[in-house]
Amino acid sequence: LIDQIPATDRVMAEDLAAVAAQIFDPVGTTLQINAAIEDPLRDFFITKFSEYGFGIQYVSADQGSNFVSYARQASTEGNRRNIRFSLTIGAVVMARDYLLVSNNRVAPASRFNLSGTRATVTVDEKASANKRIDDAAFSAVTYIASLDLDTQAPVISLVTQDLVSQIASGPAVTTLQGVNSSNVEVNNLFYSQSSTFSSLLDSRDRVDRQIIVFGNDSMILGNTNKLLIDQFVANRLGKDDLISLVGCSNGPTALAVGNEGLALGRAQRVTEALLARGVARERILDEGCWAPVSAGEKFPSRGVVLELWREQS
Amino acid sequence: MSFFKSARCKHNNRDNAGIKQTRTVGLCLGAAMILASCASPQVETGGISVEAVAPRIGGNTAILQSITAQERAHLQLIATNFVATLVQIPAMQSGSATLQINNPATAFGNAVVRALEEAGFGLQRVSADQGQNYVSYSKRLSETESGLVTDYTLAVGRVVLSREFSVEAGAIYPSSLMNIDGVRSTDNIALADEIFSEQGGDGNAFISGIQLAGSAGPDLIVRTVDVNSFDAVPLEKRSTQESVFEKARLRHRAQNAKRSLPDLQLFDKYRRTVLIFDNNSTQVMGRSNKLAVRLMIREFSDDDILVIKACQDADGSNDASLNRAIRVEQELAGFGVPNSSSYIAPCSRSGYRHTSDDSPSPVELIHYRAKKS
Repeated sequence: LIDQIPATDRVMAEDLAAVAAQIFDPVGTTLQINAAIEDPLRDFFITKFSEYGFGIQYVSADQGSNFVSYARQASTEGNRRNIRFSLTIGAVVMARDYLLVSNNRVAPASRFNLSGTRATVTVDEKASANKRIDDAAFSAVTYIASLDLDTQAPVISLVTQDLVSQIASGPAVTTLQGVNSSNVEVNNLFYSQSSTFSSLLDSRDRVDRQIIVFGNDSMILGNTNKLLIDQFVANRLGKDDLISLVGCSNGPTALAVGNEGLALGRAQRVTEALLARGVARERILDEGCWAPVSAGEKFPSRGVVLELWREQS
Repeated sequence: MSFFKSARCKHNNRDNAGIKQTRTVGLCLGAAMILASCASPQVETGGISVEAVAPRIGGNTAILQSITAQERAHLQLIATNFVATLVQIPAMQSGSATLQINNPATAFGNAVVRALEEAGFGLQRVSADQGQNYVSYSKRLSETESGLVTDYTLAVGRVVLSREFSVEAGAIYPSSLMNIDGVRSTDNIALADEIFSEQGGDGNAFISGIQLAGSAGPDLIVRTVDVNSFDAVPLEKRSTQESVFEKARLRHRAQNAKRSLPDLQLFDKYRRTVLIFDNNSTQVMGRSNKLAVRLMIREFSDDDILVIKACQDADGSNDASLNRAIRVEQELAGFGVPNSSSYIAPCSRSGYRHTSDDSPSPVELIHYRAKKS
């Protein structure tokens, strides 16, 4: 069946498989592939992955943390025939645009777009009978936000005894919990002594801290903050670090969303900026701190506190 | 060679139709003594294609072409028998175990690798014998007092399965118990021996049972299975390899699901989510559900447990919901949650769903944290 695959598709699939082999450690990674789909391209990917040393597991649906899917979208733009090839493994999406030069030749028309990973990838490609290199600048990767940002996961509620007791004790001035950008319920840190995710941070040390300041009643990030986040991700974020992120709104606000909406909205805005730089969603622990009064020294009035947590050595 | 290995049962005994069970040795000894010459059995002697037994990747089709279609069918039955046993061993859960293999160089090796693929094991090609779950196999031919017997072995890491088989008039039957080494217990393992009966026979019989590490323990259960012409199933209607493995896996999971929940008083309910399956029959979780599981697992630690509540059937039965619960349990295992930490809650018999209701089906996933002492 693999022989039926056009040479152009082979080139594109090989490119993406080579990137995947740099993002994941083949020896320690098993990929899950749907057994029900009869597709030569699937078999080609399996052969390539197997050659790299990945474990291959056939599954009946979409089981597994490294479930593989791929897409090949063809489009025309005047006389140009374009193909967008994408490969998804677990939460990591790799995609690249190609120009179909002839029936058996393609040329890369974009960099590799990677989301859900900050892994260092080296693109070392050469022209061949089936591949033309028009622009050497395309032999690189760009980290982008996940293409499925709109995928809304079910809400993950927080059920702690403290919370139950607080709710039972009567109405509070402000809400005691809210839902973060990943639909995970979190405590309002204005009233809580520790992070909702503290159990994840027990075995880690805080190695860095950065405050992103927002304008009054604003969720606009602005160029300066974007630059700060760029530097934070590029220079300070380690391979397995977690980012704790607390969006704050403490003090009077004129916005209808109130302090809660503003705090969690700011946290979401910074989360999106991190995702757009390839940081995996599960590495971001975003929470909020909101109240109509100042939190004093504990949290800024209108900012987001970014903290970097590294596994203890 | 143990007593049971030497007690090969292949006899004509039309009066003993069906399956008989007994503890320990008695019946098998009897069976071994009733060795009789076989009249020409009227058995289905069909074979299978190379494609049916060749691994999806890395197979050696040339060697499979060099044997007959019937021999390929026999190898497939043997491999199915071994692997259906393997998927019921707790340490070898196919949803989460990755095995290391070499590209097969023998026909039996091809059949084994294909069976492991079909069973859903993650397979990693290695150049030598790397890995904790390295797969090895062997086939040895013996001339015995009962005729030619072939001894097959499949080893995965420290787990070793071995069994003897013999061919009678075109059909292959086990001629010893399944011997399992490298496990603590063989409780709750059921052999997929019915696949041999589907070949049919002419009053043939074979012995069925499991012995642990070559010893006849006090709980050893041995049975003889009689195979007659009316047991023959047309080739196209025989149990598929996939269905045999699925049955074995479901059986194991159902056994696993029967584990009683730990005392929840010792835990605090920490998080909860509701996963929505698109309909009552799908096994596809979808990206959003998978993302929720990924995020929820992030906070899981060793002393925690996860409880899956899936039973929403109107009639109180829980087959469809059990499948969804098992699917979620698979997903948890895929993210590294040990089977011993996830529990499927019993059916809550909620009655608001009509049997014809095909609307999205909820599965509640609850994360419990151990109380701090």
